[in-house]
Amino acid sequence: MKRNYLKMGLAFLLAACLFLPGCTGKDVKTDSAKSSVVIKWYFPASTQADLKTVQNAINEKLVKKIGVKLDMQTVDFGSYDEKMNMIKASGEKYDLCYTSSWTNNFINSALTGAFLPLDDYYEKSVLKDEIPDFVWDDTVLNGKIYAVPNYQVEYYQACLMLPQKLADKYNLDTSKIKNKTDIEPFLEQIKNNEPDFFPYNPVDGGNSINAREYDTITGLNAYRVAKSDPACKVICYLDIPSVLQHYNKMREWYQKGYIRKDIVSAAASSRADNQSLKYAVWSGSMKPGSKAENKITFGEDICEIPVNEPFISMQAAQATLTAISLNSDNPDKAWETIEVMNTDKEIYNMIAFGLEGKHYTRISDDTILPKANSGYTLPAWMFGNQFNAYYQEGQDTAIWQETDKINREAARSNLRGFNFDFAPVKNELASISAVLGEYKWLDYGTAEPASVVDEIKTKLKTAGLDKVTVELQNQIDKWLASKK
Amino acid sequence: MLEVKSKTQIKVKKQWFDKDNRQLTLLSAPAILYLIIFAYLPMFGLVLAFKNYRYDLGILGSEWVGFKNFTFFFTSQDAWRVTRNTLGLNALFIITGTAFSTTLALLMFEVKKRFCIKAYQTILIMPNFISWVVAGYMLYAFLNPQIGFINKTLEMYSKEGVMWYSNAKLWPVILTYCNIWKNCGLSSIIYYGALMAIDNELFEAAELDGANKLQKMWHISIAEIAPVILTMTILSLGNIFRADFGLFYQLTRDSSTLYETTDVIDTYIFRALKTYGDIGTSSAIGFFQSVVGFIVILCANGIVRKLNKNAALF
Amino acid sequence: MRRNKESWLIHLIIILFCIPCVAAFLIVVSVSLSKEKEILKNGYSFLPRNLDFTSYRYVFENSGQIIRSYFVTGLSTLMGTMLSVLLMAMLAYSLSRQNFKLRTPLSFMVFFTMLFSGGLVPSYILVTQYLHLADTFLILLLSGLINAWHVILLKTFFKSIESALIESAKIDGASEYRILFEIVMPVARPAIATIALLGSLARWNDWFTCMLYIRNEHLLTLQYLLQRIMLNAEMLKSGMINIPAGLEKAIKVPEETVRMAMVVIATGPMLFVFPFFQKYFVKGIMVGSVK
Repeated sequence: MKRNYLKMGLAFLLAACLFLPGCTGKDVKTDSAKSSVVIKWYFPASTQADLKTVQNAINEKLVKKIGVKLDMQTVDFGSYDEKMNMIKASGEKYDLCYTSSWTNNFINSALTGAFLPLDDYYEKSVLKDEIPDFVWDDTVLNGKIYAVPNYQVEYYQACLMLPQKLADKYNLDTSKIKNKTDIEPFLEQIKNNEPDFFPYNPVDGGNSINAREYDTITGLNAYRVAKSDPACKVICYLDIPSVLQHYNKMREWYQKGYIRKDIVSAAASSRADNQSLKYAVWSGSMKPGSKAENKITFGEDICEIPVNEPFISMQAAQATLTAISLNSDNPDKAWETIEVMNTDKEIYNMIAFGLEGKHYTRISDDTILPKANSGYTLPAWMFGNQFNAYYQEGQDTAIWQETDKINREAARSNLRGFNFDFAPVKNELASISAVLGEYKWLDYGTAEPASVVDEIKTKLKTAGLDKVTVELQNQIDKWLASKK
Repeated sequence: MLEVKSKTQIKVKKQWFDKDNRQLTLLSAPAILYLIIFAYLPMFGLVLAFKNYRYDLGILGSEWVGFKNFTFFFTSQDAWRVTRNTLGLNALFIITGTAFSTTLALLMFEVKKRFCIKAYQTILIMPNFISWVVAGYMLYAFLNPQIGFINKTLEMYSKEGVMWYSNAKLWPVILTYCNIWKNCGLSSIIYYGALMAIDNELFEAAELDGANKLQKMWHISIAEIAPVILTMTILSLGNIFRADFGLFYQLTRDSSTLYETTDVIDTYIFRALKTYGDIGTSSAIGFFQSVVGFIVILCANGIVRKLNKNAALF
Repeated sequence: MRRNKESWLIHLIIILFCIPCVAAFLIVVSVSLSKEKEILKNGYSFLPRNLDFTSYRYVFENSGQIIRSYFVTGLSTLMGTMLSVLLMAMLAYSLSRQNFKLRTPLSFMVFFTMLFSGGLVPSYILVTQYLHLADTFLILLLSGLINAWHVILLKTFFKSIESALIESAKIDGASEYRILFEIVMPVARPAIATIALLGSLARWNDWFTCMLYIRNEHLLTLQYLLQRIMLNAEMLKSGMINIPAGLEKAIKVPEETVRMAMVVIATGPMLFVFPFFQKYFVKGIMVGSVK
């Protein structure tokens, strides 16, 4: 009896294997008309139902303009990094991809030979003037440009955020609040009268504590550089008095009950908790138009209290970049595609918002209202110059100008243009990272800081802090000298 | 059979690879072919552990750097702690896991009603379907210091809640419990399958000899499935340097206060390489874990072979 | 009397083990049937406070995708397991035979693959560049086809079969093929069933193969559908401040309740299929003699 089953099974398997390769689902590309080049573009996004429709519409225009057809490939955010690693490692051919500091890491990829240097294109391009120089600086590694910045807000202005209704209820005078610690009386009121809210969310709040005087170095969280110091001497963060003051203050707040007791385990879901308004006060950033955005994200008015001046940190523009693959067969056309995305308003808005009527309704010349749950929702800052994007309903039509203005006027890090080559101290850096990770809780105040500061210093020293300090300072000094 | 055939030298040579062997070779061919293609071909990637990998040079073109990729782990101050945690916790998992699953299997074996067995076994494999991510959420629902089930219950009896995610000492027990919860159901079914294969005659004979239940269990059931238990144990030992990443990362919610007892090689490397990561270092660690696991298995296999030839892997 | 007491004790102990297993699943079902706002405010609970089917409605809105995935997952699990069990049984049987000359080297070959692996990158290159199996149904079948662990387990099972059975068949002149298919497999039915079960579970739960190799929406497996939602949610949750604002809008992350509903939907079928395997866990049929 078993024999029969087996024979049946085998027969079925063999038969099926013959049929199934037929439904591989590989899209046979039949559009290779001689006159148009296909440019494959990878970027992180959820699957869009109407992707092909929008892509076809874009291609109609793109073919006429530069003879290019886009092949847009979405990869889920959660898997983008891993997927792109595989694609790069296997030498799979593609032309454009989204890269940044937080996914498909730009520096790693560029320095290990994944991206094409773009200096020649840059020199002859209109983008040289379109996008400010200081933004291009962030794409330069070892003297070569490796990506095109998607120009958007470049500065960071830290602020405290809280529901407007709470601010109104307690008559919070926001003009009096200059530092994060000034919010303390308000926290006391929340603690006593609002049991539904945790008063303060300390996660991600430590970053800007002493940001007025000190600048951070990307990827080197153990160090700070004084903004006022043109020689950029690096300082260990534990040696800065205001850092220790901050830890003590957080400890105080924890003991007073402003910080929830289970913060250590709750920190993992901090962003989601912010959005569901579990906290009365949390930290964030502001820019022109953020008020309207917040209203949509949080569902109610959010009060923003700036605690810093706008500041452009090192490698800020690496938040969103577009790069050309080193093994692209059509780098010229790929570059032209990028140019179009950054200059042609019509095409750019198509890729950003989809098709009029189907995915958004037009309110005026440059304002639109995106439709909810349409088959196409992608972020504009992934594809080109965001300042060319249509305004969305509720956004003030002056925000692009304002943002651009602040971009150009904001204070900048003295270290812009510097990229630390961490190869000589790779191991030490990873060890240091491990130590810092262990003491994350200092930002949350769950134990006495004073007792552990020495412990951390010893551990950092064992991890090789001194070696890194020397190497870091050397590289900075060399770079400063070469600038002159 | 073979004795008869090997009477003369010539005959032996001629018959060395006899019909049976040819047939057996054919039987094993498809699977071996698969392994060669899908397991052995990619093994050339092990060289990545010794190279400085660059995308534009590819695997073959990237330069050799000897043991440089290994230095990160071995010179780090936490290497001892994470290795100790990995080995200790894995050993705990193996011992408790085997004990619980064999007990479960033996108990199940005594149950007569088919319906009950079906129900029990279906329930027991449920946790296997729940990924560690989801299991982490659930554990959090229990252990959340503020609104978790356990603390809330303690409060009802006016006892103080425990700061679960800040007390590292509790976690070896918690993690062991979770490991049993997730894996024992399935393991017990494997052992149950083994028990099923025991010849009934053995039990009947013991019954005649007047053996009671426990005696039967010990002398027959356990003795007969000993090869399976030992084999499974040896196999688990091979991975004693590898941690189940999901378990250690998701259940602890990556709480830094728990690193002392829950940080294992895999989570440590994951965190450290998040920023400065490169394929070389992670390959190197993987290679190291494989090599030591291999050595452990060879030793374990040698020991087991002396005890019970059937159970040894080779 | 004693028999009954013992029996009750045994059942009790087993039930004790079962409670946490059911409890966990109960929570999942309960959350999937709750209102999202409730969950955000009060966290998980064993019973939904307000019965709410929105999450299921949401999931089945896109029912086309779910049905396709059910089909793909079901088919690949069924075919994959059958093929896998067949090939592995053939191999394990050969390895269990004392007179097989290649026994030791092949056993070692199998065992070696358990510990040493070239890693993701070479496998990816092999599958996509050389075998051109990316985005095909075939890769879903082939992935994990031969599991060294299962082979070794099967081998151990086979070894413990009475050699007398096989010997007598040999004397009657049976080929190795006949011995395998007509004697060994039926006798080792529990073992085969066990391996088949393990294999099915592994295939059903596998999402990684899909993530690496499949782009075509028509070939996505059920678990991958769930997993990518989870991965997206995790990424957002982990509060990476570097992500430009407004990302939350761009990622459609279904809420907690929907994610749990997906767990139920992805897991449910397997739990119904499992009792089917039970049939084979029948006490070993010891055929007195061959033929």
